[in-house]
Amino acid sequence: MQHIYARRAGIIAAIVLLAVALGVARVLVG
Amino acid sequence: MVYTALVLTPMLIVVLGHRPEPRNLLVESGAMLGLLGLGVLAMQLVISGRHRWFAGKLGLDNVLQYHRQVGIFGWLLVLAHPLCMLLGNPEYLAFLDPREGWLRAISLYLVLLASTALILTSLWRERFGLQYEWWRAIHAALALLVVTGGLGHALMADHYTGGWLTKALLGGLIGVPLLLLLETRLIRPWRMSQRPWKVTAVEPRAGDVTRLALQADGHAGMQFLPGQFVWLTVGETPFTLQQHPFSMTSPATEPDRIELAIKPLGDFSRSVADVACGTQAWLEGPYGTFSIDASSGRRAVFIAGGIGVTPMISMLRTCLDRGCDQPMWLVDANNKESEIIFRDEIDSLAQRMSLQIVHVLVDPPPGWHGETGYVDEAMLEKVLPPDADDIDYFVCGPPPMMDSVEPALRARGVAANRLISERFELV
Repeated sequence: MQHIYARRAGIIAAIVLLAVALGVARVLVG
Repeated sequence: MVYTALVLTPMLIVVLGHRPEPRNLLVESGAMLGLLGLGVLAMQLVISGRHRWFAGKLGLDNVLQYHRQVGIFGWLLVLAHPLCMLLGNPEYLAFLDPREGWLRAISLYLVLLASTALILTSLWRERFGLQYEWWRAIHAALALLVVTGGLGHALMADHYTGGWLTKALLGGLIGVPLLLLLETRLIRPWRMSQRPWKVTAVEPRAGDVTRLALQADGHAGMQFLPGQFVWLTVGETPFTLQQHPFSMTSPATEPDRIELAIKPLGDFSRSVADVACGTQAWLEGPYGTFSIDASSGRRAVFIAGGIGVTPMISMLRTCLDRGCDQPMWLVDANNKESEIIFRDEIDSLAQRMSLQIVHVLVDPPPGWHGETGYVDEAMLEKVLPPDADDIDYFVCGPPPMMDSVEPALRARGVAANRLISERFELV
């Protein structure tokens, strides 16, 4: 069961990180 | 949370440091994706390094599943970075031109090619016919290239990394995972070399399995939890990539005498049957969270497929040694009767403790009295007691079996925290 959570954790981390990166880019452009 | 913060640090260091003139959204997004990619890939060195302070509580197989997912994400970031930059401003084509800056261009090509090779060789190792040992060597070398090349490229881009302080902070931050890689490949094998083991028995068992017994040579052995596994190196030196994971079958009550059961699934495991008694060996570990707390008094159901029974044997032997008297069940599934691993030991355990065994065969011989077919919800309903809060379920076997048993247990009402499973398909 845990491997499903591990995979999900990978996908969730990817989405969060991507959102932060694009958010920072947006702030930089102003 | 800690992981996310660490991954984001390169991006935050450069953004909070030197603030040059803003460029268009596509270019800035590309730059941030590149920095995020660097953070993600540098952290991959930490995640995969079998560091107990990181992987201890999570379980190595879960961490490696995560490593796999995030690795693909890191690679996509590496590809998206130049694409966004070029779409945002075609002048960045100069970064690809060695005449404009050969080191900068080469480091960029290097990272793109090495990260692509890294992903392809991992996803399709078997399709490429790549041996496990060679894959490990190539994986480590490419990973090193990607992270050092990525760092070099970021420093040479000189936009956000213009200031010396930013350069130093970024270099120091990415340097830590690189040092940890050295710890994994040099310091850890050196520590292992101080604690050698000797092979004391090599015996063929049912199902082509080899039982390998090891004795601690001049030290107290290794304390482990029943159900955990070790990375085994056999031969001349521990400074080798010939290192393979196997579960202990011996009880945790005997830390100086460890037994492993090895099924011939790859080149190394096929050659184990030819290892001579007296050969030196080294063990790294123990690893894994697939373990029973023998003193808890909780009931346990073990569901094993093929070689997946090995960690359960260690758990059962430990429970026997520690005098546990709570009821336990073992559902042991195999293809044929001749493939039931450690059948004598398992049946003898049932005589000496409160253990009920259910042998399941896909291809039973005439006159077979056990269960037949694949382990599914209907079979579990028939052979197991009604689910209760004081029952833990341990599942280990080939992926198709796990994919069918885990949902079947959940359908019976088993809570996720009482369902403990282990997968071994690392690559």
